[in-house]
Amino acid sequence: MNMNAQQFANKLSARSQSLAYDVHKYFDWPDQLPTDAFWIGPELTTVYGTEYCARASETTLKRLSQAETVNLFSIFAHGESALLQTLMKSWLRPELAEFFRYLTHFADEETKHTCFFVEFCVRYGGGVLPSRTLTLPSTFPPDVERMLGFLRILVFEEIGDYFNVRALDDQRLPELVRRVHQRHHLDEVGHIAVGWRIAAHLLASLGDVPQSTLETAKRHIESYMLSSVQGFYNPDMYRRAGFEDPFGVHAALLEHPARAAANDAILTRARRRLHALWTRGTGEESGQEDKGEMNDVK
Amino acid sequence: MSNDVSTDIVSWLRARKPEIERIDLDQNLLESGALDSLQFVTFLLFVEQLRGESIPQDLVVPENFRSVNAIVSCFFARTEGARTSATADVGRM
Repeated sequence: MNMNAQQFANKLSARSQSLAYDVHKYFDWPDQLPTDAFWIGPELTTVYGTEYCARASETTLKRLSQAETVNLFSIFAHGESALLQTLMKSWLRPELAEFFRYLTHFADEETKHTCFFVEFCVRYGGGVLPSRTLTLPSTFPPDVERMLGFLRILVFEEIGDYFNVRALDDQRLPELVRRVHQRHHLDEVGHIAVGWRIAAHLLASLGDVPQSTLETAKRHIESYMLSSVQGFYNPDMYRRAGFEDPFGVHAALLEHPARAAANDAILTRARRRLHALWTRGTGEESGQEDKGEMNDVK
Repeated sequence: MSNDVSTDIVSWLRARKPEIERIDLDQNLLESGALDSLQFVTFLLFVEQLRGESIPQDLVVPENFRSVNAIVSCFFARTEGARTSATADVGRM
């Protein structure tokens, strides 16, 4: 660990302090959100680019965008909860000492995200949707699992931020929804920046790990990314929106080439940074694309 | 119906893990790697589709998915055998 990493973590801590807010006062929650509006842009719904989208009425697409916003925020709420558990299992370890102060901001901000995602789902979606995930014991050595835990956090945040940056200034959406994405994005920029530093540090700190284990770990993260994106395809939401045969729609969309391309687009930045991590030992990219957000906190 | 369901479940699992040559109905799916946490969401939705209704979150515990027979017994045979977790979601309690 060098001073640059320490200075970087300190700078992020100062940023978090300057951007701190009271989550219980930050948002004005209207009694209702407009039901004749998109809550996420139609191009972010899981039917976009398919015949299901082409055949659906605008009313159905708006209902789907509303349902999928609740689904998205429910997934975020469950994800933040899992993230906090992962973070708190590791944050007192000596190899993360330089990051500890910032990690307390990280945990605080993720707790606040959980608060506002849950609030949104309860107010406008009938409650947080149940998680369909099942956690099983890890089969990796502890240090590899620790690194994978942070990588899962990172991938989750990269995916979440894909939606944030596309929704935060979308004037078709209710102001509250834009504001939720704006706040989430503001915090995630710091989390993502420090997360890649931590992942690189944990990768460099691994003991004598067989190459085959590392290859299995890489495949695990790729599978995790795909399964995370597939979680957005929820037949309960197709049913809410009024689609017939919601399970059939779900199965067809998972195999649809247009959706495979859309899924790849969601994962592009995470995959580029993972590639940089595996090949150069850093999650920071050497190219020009997407460097702006990382530079925000440097 | 249970035999058809068992066949459908085995076919689904084998299609995604072709390296696993055989899946016995009592084989532990979780320990053998025939079913892992990353494919679980899609698998659960497939089971729900076969069942024709959602599976309550409290029934989504490893014990109920340990084998094909356990899945059939818990979710298709209408037995009382399904184990539950003690958790519920905010807003749904």
